[in-house]
Amino acid sequence: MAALASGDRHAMARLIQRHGPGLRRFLAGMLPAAHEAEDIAQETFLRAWAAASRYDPQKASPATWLYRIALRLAIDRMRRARFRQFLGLEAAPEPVDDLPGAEAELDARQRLALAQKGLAALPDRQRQALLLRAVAEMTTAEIAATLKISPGAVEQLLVRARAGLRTMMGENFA
Amino acid sequence: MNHTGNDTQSQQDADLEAALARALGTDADDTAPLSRAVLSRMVAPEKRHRPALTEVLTAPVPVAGLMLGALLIAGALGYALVPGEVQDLMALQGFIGEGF
Repeated sequence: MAALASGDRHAMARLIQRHGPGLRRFLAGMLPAAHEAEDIAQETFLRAWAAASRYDPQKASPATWLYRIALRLAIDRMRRARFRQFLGLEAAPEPVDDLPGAEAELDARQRLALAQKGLAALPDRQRQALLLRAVAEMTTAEIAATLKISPGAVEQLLVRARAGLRTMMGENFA
Repeated sequence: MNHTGNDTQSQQDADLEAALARALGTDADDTAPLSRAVLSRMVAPEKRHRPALTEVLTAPVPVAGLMLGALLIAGALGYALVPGEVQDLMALQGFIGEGF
């Protein structure tokens, strides 16, 4: 992070390599439109680049700090999208593009749509906690720091989220 | 016995989370496009653009705040100017008489 603050672009490339995959999955679970998830992933790293000098390792780990930025951006994007839908300026998002493709790709798209549908049915906090555990592979303490809640509350959210997802998805998702 | 039950539950939780992670991004591990996009945006300065109408409508609180502020200032100015206006009218009325 110190290298990032000093303007080292290689440090940014390393940060993307390390946290990019998890962050993209996290945002794919938060935002139904693929292009929005990609856009917010880029924006997250750009914000991190701009704010790297203000990063305090005493307060948060790089992962916690990064996911907190992504979470704020995703919540802001969802609020705007909901308001646009309310005004009728934007149609409700399609979970996945319905483009023709190879069977494997189609299967992947169907699984993505299924996962997004299940996640969308969960309350916001449960969805966030489960995504941070599943795709960012965060510990309970790290999730607690990211969501600014107690570790006990995180455990409760995770138990409810898993149960909710199992109920929603049944045997189709394993 | 209970220990085994907990292990099974933990394994089921881990399987669910792994399935979720797989479903959310088969191509997420390829960070090259993301790196390219971010690094090129870091090099190119962001252009400040005028917000579109939809952007303004989706962020109504600051705009509404500005409008309300302008309205209050206009109201206060109007209120301050009205007595002078009335005095002027009364002076005019005295000058040209009531029958006019």
